[in-house]
Amino acid sequence: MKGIKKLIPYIGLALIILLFGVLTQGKLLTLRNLKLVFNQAVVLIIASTGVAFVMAQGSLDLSQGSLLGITGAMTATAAALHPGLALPMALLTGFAVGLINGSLLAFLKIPSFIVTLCVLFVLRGLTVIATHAGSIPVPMEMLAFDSYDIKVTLLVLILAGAYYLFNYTQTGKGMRAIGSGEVAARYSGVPVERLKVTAYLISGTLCGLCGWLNVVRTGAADSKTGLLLELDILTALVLGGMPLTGGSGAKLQSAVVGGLMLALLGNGMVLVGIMAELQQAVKGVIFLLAVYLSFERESAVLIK
Amino acid sequence: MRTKNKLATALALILLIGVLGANVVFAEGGQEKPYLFGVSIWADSDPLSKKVISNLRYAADVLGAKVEVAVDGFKPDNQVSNIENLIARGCDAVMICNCTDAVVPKIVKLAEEAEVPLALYFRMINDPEIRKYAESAKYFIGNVHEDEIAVGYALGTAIADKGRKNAVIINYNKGDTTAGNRYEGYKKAFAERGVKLLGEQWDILDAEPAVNAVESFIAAFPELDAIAVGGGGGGPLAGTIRAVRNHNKIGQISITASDFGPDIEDSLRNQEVAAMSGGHWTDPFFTFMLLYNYVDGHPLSDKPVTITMEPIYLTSVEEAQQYTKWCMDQPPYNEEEIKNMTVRYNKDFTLADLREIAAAYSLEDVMERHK
Amino acid sequence: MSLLRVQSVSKTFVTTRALREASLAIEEGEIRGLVGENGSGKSTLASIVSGIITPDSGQMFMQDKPHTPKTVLEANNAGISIVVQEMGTIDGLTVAANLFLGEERRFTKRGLLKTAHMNKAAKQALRTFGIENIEPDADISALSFEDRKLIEFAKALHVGPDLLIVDETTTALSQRGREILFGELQRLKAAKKSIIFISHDLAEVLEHCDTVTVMKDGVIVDTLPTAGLDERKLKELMVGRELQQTYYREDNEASYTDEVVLRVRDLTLKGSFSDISFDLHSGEILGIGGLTNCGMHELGKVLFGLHAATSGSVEAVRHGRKVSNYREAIACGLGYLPKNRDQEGLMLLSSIKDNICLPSLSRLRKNTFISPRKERELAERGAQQLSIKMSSINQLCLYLSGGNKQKVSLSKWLVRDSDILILDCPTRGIDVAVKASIYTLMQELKRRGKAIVMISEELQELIGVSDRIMILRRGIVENTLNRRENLSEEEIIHYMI
Repeated sequence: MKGIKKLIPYIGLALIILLFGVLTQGKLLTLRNLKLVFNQAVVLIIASTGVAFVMAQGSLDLSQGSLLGITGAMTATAAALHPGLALPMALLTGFAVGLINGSLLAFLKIPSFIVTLCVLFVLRGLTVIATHAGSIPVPMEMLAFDSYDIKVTLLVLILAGAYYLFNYTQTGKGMRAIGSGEVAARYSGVPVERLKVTAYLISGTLCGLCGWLNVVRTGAADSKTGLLLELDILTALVLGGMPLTGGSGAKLQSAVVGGLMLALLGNGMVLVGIMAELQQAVKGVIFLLAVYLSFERESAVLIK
Repeated sequence: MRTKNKLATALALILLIGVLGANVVFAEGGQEKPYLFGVSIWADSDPLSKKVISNLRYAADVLGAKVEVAVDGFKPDNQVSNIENLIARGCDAVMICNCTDAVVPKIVKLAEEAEVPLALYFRMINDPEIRKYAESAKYFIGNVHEDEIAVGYALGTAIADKGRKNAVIINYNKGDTTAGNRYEGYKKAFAERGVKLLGEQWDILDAEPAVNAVESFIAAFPELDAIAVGGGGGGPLAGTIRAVRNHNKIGQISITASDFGPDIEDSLRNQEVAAMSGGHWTDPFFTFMLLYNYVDGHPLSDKPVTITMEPIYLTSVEEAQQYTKWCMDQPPYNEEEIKNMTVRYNKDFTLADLREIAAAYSLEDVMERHK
Repeated sequence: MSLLRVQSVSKTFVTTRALREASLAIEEGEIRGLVGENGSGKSTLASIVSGIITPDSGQMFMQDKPHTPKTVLEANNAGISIVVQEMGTIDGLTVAANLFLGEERRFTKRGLLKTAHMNKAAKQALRTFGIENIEPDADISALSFEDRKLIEFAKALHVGPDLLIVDETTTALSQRGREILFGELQRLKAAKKSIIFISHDLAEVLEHCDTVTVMKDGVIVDTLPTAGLDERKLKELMVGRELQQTYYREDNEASYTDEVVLRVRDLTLKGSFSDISFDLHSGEILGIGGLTNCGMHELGKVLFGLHAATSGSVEAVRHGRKVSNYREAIACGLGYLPKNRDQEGLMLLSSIKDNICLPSLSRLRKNTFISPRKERELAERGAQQLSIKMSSINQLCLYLSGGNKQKVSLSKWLVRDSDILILDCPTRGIDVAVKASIYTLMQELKRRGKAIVMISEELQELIGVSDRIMILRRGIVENTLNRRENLSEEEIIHYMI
């Protein structure tokens, strides 16, 4: 029973591939289309990888959508001065927001849901102001960074690094321990506050990188950039099997599996020609189903 | 754990076989298929977008082609994704109403890489650098847009024609090209005709702020007798009308606005508005015709084309009724006229002809052709 | 006619068969003791009868009517209520709200809850029950463990049950609480009501129960009248073999080295304790005793650096460092076993391996890398050392019995080779066999020169295990007694109260 639960995400991924593979008469699996899916999934996967660290601790990061927006705006503004400033600015912005998120949570003891939701609103407001409710273009030569080589390299490096950090270091183990039981983790010597901040630094910085990727992809930072990304990330992670409560059941693979699933689902529905509004509804239903299938009811009692 | 490994292997195999199979199958293909045109649009449920889509579908039907619509919500990332997806779906050409100049280079790049022709509707490219880049691209076919300065000028003139002397302008945010151009047009007409511009208010995107702005203006300027709504026949206009009605000034204050909707006739009858521009949903139709001829192997030009359109102006109930009858209830261009805009059915058709048709578009033009 | 008949009831959790073909009958007016080691199936049986969980197979009859409760409420309606082993109150609600949880409708008029009305009823319920010091509008989380247990008890009673099940409640109670509880049980018996009383305290069971049912490994071993039964016989039935030795240490003198490993000076935590000074020596077991709210539990947390002391110092002498937070404490070789095992001692949703390895990660790592193989080895070693019953080190702690959970909790510090162990109620709620093994282990650690601070509410244990006993009263050290032959419980109680 428990074994099957762990497999659900993989079975789901296989089902989506099979279903849309058949419905699109194989079009889904053409190399050109798979490249496209990768292209659209890469930001989701990287951002989800960051949030996986936060969720492993049993916290949430809902600020990601607006963070992508504000990093975009900051990046584009910096790029106007010099294109070389764009990436450092993106990473710095993400890092700073992560620091704010983490500090509010760890030291002021405000629940992560509230903290990041507030930050979501604040950052969206700042994004609208920074973009004058419109768009900021970036120098055209920056579009050159939007290449498969760069994205594949970045993704592989990030996933490898994150996998190592998550599974084989004191930091990763400590974070999961916090998710399993914060008090018990503290009593066993886990530096709870420090790790909470660290998790948000990781998620913020990776989101910052995504902001940069997004800007070089579209060539513009817009006031609406990243709208609802936080929900896509949450959906991807839960679809990928990440328990909402975090802890020892948390797996980094969730980010990849879930990200791919969501991207394939979106792409498949476009290929089949399902209405945009209906696509949202389908995503919602699938999210609900994923939570239902993977939720540990037995242990829910133990989660405060 | 072992089961998982097996499953992963099985999955990888399925994927591999699928990829290989799919690529073999699709490398062939070959038989005659109808042309597929991809359209990325901000929405598909408001009056304007609905009319745009139905009009394009009608034209495609006439020519035996198909239209694929993707909604982008005016978000740059979605616009890029939509173009990617539409190209992946195998569209023979794509068209988009880009939300900002900044997204154009990327979209053009996508079209170039996929060797799929691309054209813009409702838009011109203002940024000279981006325009230069786009126009140097092989697969950038062109753009169709309205002359918004002319729109502002025409509506400003309509205000003066009603004998109004003291006007204010409320508008979208500064930086919005459409709003800015209409503003220039209004100012030009006011200056020429001696209408005093008492004030202006920007960043009005919705009904509520419009109510507030207009009420302030009415309070500050008792002599106010005209309001030009530069941006939008939707929320801002509705708010303006509400504020004017609240002060019992309907009829005393003339309101002009752009992009009229289905209730234009009532608005004119109730004297809520003095004049409006609209009917420009035919604009994407000309983009479509440009693309169709290109895809069909008869490009109208070997360089990117810019077509400027005139909107329709309505200033009376009678005009509005005529508009509904001739432009809304039946297509502004019938089957024969559409076919005649293609080189396939009309060997002598040229770009100049298309430009002429677009420039001539007006209520009188449609009535004359279909009477 | 029996009040309750249970016939061939079985239950399996994931992989553990918690209950096998259990049958028993309870008569009217009977107080039935239910004893057995941890994991023997007592709580499972109680949970099934009271509707908390449903059995896989078997039948139950209440007054000859089929009894198939799906919820606690259904069981309540059938005349059964239960006081559970773990905390059954809900934080954030008032005492009255907890008391009448699920019955709010009684106090609701036109959709509005009449709080005053409810408080009044609650006050009455508490007073008839002999609880004078708790106000119905108090927030339940502000109350002591004991008071909360008593409220659960009052809640179970005011339903007016024909059968009351008390699961392992007395360990949490002081003398006063126990008196209240047993008084009520006798009153119920007089009213021809029945009770199932689950406890590890065999003396208590023998004293208050009419009959006793012994369980082992999910099977009912026997049911006997308590008359003519002694603790030793009962233990043998529970363990399934004859007990060879007494489990306390056999020497009668304090014995430890001169080396001071932990020096505590003038330690004060405002509101809990003040001016506590002592030296802890290598090879010493220092018992700390007192009433449950005398400050000794807080003292344990301050020693380990979990709470900052208001003033005073704790010095790890070997490291020459003052301990001011838990990270430093661990670095200086301290280990801490909390009283609240399930919430503070263990990550229940993590594996045995993860729990055991957590404090030792900094020792396992090479640069930043922690080898999974080394983790496995460490956990295997720790589990073997304490013979933890498990299917593998990857098993979740959630499914372990209380005694095995405690072993995991201890193992964390043993594999880290901690020099100074602070054990807060190390044998709370666990069975005799595990208890004995923990005492043996403590002797072993003592021999190896480790130092142990054992905070305990059990006088027998303090006397039986400690080299010195430090007695706290209202946060002040009342006396420190050395181990000697004739040390009696009375003497200790004298300083406690």
